[in-house]
Amino acid sequence: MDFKKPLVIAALVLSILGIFAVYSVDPFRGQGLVWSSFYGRQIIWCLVSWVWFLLIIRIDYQTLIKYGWWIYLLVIFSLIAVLIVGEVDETGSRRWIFSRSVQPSELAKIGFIIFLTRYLVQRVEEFDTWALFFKVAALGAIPTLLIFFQPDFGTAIFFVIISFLALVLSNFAVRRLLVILGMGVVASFISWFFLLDYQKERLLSFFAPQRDPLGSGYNVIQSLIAIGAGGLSGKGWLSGSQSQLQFLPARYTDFIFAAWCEQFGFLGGMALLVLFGVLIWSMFNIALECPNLEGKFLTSLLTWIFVFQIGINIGMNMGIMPVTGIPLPFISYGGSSLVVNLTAVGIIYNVAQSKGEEDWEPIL
Amino acid sequence: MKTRKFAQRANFLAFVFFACLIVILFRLISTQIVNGQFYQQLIHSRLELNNLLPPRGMIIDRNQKVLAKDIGVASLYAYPYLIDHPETVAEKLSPFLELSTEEILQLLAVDERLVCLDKQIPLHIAQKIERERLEGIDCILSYARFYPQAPLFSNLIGFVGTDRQGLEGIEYTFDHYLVGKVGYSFFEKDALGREIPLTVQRVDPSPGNNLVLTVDSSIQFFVEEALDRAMERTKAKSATVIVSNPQTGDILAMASRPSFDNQVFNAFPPERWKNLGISMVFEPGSTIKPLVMAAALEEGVVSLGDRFRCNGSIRVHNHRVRCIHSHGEQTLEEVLINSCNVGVITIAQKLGVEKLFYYLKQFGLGEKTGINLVGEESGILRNPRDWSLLSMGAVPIGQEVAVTPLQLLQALSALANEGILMKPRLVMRVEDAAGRVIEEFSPIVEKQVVRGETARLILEMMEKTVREGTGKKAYVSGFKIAGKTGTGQKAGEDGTYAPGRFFSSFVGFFPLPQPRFGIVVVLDEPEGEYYGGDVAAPVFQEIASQILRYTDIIPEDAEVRVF
Repeated sequence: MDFKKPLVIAALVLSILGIFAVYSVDPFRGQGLVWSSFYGRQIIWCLVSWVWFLLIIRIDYQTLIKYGWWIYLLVIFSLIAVLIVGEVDETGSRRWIFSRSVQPSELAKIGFIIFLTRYLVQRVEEFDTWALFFKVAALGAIPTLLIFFQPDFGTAIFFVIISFLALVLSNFAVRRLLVILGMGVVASFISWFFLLDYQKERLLSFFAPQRDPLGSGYNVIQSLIAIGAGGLSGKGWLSGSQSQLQFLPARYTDFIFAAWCEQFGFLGGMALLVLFGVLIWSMFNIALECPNLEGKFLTSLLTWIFVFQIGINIGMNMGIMPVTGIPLPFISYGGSSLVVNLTAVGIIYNVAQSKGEEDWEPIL
Repeated sequence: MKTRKFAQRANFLAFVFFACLIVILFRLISTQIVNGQFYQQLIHSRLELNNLLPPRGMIIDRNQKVLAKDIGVASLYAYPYLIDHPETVAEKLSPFLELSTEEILQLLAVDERLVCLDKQIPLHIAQKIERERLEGIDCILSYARFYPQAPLFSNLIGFVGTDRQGLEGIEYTFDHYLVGKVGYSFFEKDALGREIPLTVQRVDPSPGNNLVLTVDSSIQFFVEEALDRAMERTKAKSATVIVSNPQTGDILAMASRPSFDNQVFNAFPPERWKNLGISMVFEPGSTIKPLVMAAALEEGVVSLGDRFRCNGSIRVHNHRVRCIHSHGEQTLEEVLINSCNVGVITIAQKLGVEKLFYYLKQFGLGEKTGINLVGEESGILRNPRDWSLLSMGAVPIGQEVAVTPLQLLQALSALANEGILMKPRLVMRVEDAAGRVIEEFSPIVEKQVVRGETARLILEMMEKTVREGTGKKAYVSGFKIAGKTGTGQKAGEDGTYAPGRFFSSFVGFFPLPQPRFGIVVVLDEPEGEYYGGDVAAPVFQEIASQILRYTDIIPEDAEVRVF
């Protein structure tokens, strides 16, 4: 079955809905289509990234994997550069370059996944060995720590999880995986002492949002009110006090799902979930249908970029995940994340397109 | 083999994802569908509706002098939880308020979201406070009622309560004209309870209408001054004066003693708030006699040429009604001039019970005048069925009947107005805030009680009463003034007349032949002298001479004075 179509259609519909979502909470929408308006920029970014998508699908994913090590070095280099010359945003994190238009950590996700694919498929004999675990852990730790010190808690966790998932896919025994998980838990207890105050706040407010209704828990409460007030069919396009007034914080990025649900209710929320489901389902199937291991690895891990973001973002909108500032793919405002997401979709599309053309699985 | 293994693992991860999706779905259902109402209400509890009070309408006298108006003041509020340094705030505020630093600190220490520090701060001080930009301090514009002429008119105008509703007097009865329409602002509160600018919806309040009264501040001033002097002189328990225009029924002045200051009405006991001009009920005594005389003349039972003999007393049923002294042989005119009880009773007997009652009722006795003021009494005029055999010796000389000062003035004014009874008028017109007339109140003719000729005859008799009779002390040299004195006995607690306790009254009109001013003076229990002609007439004289000087009325002997 051809999964390219549902993949592209889901991504396209989602990115168009994203423009509407951003428009609905845009404080500058009254000024018309001007550069300062959020939805105006979102439209431009959408066009740019879909053009970018058309370029990406022409690049053979095997070529990308071939340059895996170079890409890894580029990732490390850009993350170091950010720490030195990066620009600081309102949360106090040094994440941006080029006048706060690019977050290298976003691109680093894809780069790291390409590298991991390259690294693991060349070590099939080493699968399920502690040696491989330590190598992967060491190679993953470098970008993770660089991101951690920006600090960008959410993306750092993503690197940890994606490394772990790579091990899961590398046929590590369940027993070994559990030991690794245990080590992770111990490590996170230790890392608590290295967390910044705002990061601790975010985690604490996740466990008890009512603890400080004016502080960090405020976001989650307001978000829940917005989603709840939407009811079955929502308050209607551009209506709803939570999203139209300044109640919802970061309502065009982190909490856009809540704004969406207030306007379109349960049905609107379901529509988004179905679209995301179609997207992920297509990706998983492309991974399964891909005849070669590197295609499977690459697609599976790239899929988790979306799984991770969707799960965390919607989860935090509904108060079942900590507030970590991770955007909702395609829907949240932001050019950088749109480009990264369509890059991932593009690579996966290329995997689906080139299947069967080159099938080297000699080591198996 | 590897591929199969990979598929297992990948499927497991896919399962994890879709499991997450299911969790999210359930959460969505519980939030939006199961608990949707709850969150909806949570939003509603955040909405706030605030009333915007309109300025209350002005009360203006006939010469456009302002008697009551709203002035902008500020209410000062504090949000204690927003104040990090209460000491500094209190120190900075204290010079502006009538509160010490300690008192302000105490107020700020209260565990409330909002504390009112002061409700009536003049705007210029409020501006200074605003300039200080103190944290957690907020000035809210409101209005306070201001009576520029206070304590003048206090009993007539009344006052406004803290909820800005009229509680007494004109402020009460004309409240619906004065209040205006309350506007509102509707907004949502943010998490700190402050209004969110974008959510504010506003319907501006519309200011109340202005009331233009028939009263004249200058005349009111003369009246109140004269009353004060009279109270001092006579040591009366209470007193009231009403000045009106007999031609139109316009009330020009209305004052009571004891009185109060409506600007600070709370500082006075409520008994003092009463408007005695409409609420004092008393036996008028001889002031009723012109009405009896008019009725008799109108009915033709007596004529000007008739002569009446007074031996000092007359027998009615088994009682003897006395005069001050034996008046001897009198003309009809002289009966009134001397205020002869014997003569009046004789005339009344000729008129008969039914006719006497009929005319007194026609003159408005026993009924409210319908002036739009709260607390008006209707007086007492019993139906002839309930009269005793003695009543014909009492009613004609103003006993067994009771009137209010306004009733008495209204009834006698008919005699000064060609026999036409006018309804008292207090409000000339209602204007909106921009001065456009909304409602006009024209003088209202109640009825023609007696023919104009009859009225003129009685008025002439009353003029002679002032010139040469019991009302001499009301005489203002150079002017034609008509009047009638009255001394009503006061009933004690047991219902019988109490010795030495009287209502002294005087009703007078000027300038003749078409009087434009009518004045009633009533003194309750004056000490020492008590004849109306001795205590009430001088008060009338004082007021009348001041009004004459104030208006453009030319004295009768002006020609003599020219050269």
